[in-house]
Order: sequence, then structure tokens, then C-alpha cells
Amino acid sequence: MMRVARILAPALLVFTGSIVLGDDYPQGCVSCHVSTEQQDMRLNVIFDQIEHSRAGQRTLLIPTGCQRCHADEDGVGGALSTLIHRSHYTDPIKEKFTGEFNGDCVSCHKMDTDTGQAEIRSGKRNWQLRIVPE
Amino acid sequence: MSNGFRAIALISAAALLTVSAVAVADSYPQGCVDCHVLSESGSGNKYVGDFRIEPLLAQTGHRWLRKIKTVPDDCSKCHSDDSDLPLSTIVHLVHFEKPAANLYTTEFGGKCANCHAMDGPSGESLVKSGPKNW
Repeated sequence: MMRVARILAPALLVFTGSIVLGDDYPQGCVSCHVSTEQQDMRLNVIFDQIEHSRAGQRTLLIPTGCQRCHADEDGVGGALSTLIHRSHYTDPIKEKFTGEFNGDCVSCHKMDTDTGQAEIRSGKRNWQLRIVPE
Repeated sequence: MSNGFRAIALISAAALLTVSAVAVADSYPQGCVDCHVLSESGSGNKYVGDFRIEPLLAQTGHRWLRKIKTVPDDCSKCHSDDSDLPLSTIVHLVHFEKPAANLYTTEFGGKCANCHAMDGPSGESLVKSGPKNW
């Protein structure tokens, strides 16, 4: 009996911990902005829709690489944090992000529990770079 | 306009108001002081005790919060982001350290939005605040 308990207890702890710490979007933007059978929500598609410069398509790490134009203080394209917060928390996208997709802060951020710093998730772009002839 | 149509219009308007009120409901509009309360027996709360910030900090040896009127705004007088002990770091650590065992996340379902609010139009993440409750 005790042997079973010794095996089950750690397993239960790990299982419980994985629920508490479960993470559906470990890579932030690119974990959510994907192509499905219903629609293609990858960022390269959205870049085309909003007529973003080619720099967006060429960015490898999302959103880390976006900082070269969208840094908080001196980004020539405006602070990314402001742009992303606005686009995800202003109608009509807000309904989609917070309602349909149940998005919230931790979809894009994670807490470093050792330092107390809120970090930004990132991941490699999930589209093939298109070479456009001059 | 027929009475039947008017009744339907009124009911629809009332239903819309109800739905929007539910959608924007915020259990912690004032942040810290909405959660850190004096919870007395018979209140129906799961936990009974004095969870207000002043007595909690007194247990840690923190100086008397004599000049604090608005929480956490006034805390920034000593705990600004540029100080040795920024409030954001302290509060994040206290609430998210060891998340699998931290009561904030495990018992109270605490999330970023308990303390923060998003201003969609400006894209600014805000810190909720309220008058001290001690």
C-alpha cells in the first residue's frame, strides 16, 4: 500500500503541477497565429493585409526581431507593446482575442518566477520567406 | 410602433445591457485592496482572517504605512521602478513564486488582470488602485 502511495504521490504532484503550469502558447505570437483549415492567421498573411513593409516577412524571431523597428523608446515604427495591446484589446479584435480564443496576458507574456519579471514569449516565424524578384 | 414590437425592443435592450455588464464584470476593480480584505467568520469566505496589507506587512517587519492613502500608487514613493526594491518585482515574486504551491494561483485563481487593467485605446497596461482599507 505504502509502495503504491509512494509511486502515486509524485505522479499526482507532477500532474497537478502540469495543470497549474500548463501552457498552450509557449511561443507566444506564432503559437496562436497559425494556419488552420478554416483560416490562415499567420502573421505574414496579416502583414500583407495591413501592407506592412517586407521587414516583417524577413523577421526570424517573433516578436523579438520586431524590436529593431518597434522598440519601446525609439522604434521608428512605434512601440510594439502599444501596437499589440491596442490591436488585441480594442474592438472588434478584442472580442475575438479575449472571447473566441480566451486570450489574456499570459498568451503573450510569462512570469519569471525567480526574478519577478514579466517576460515576452517568442518563437521562430512559422512561414517560408518569399523571395520577391526586383 | 406596435406594443408587441416595443416590448421586444425593450427586452432586447435590457438583455444587451445585462450581457455587456457580465462581459465587463471585474471582481477586483481596485486591485490590491479588493483582494486583501478583513475576512470575518460568517462572511461566507473560504478563508477567514485579516488579509489586509497593513497587518500582513507588519508581520514582515515593514515600517508602519502611515502616509499611504492609495494602494499601490503611494507605495511607489519608496518602491519606484528605479529603486532597489521595485514594487512590481516584489509583488510579482510574492504572488508567482513557486506557482504550483502559491495560494495566489492555486487557491484564488489569481491572474494578471487581478492587479492590472488594459486600456485598449491607448494600449497601456495599467495598475489598478484604490483607497487603503485599514
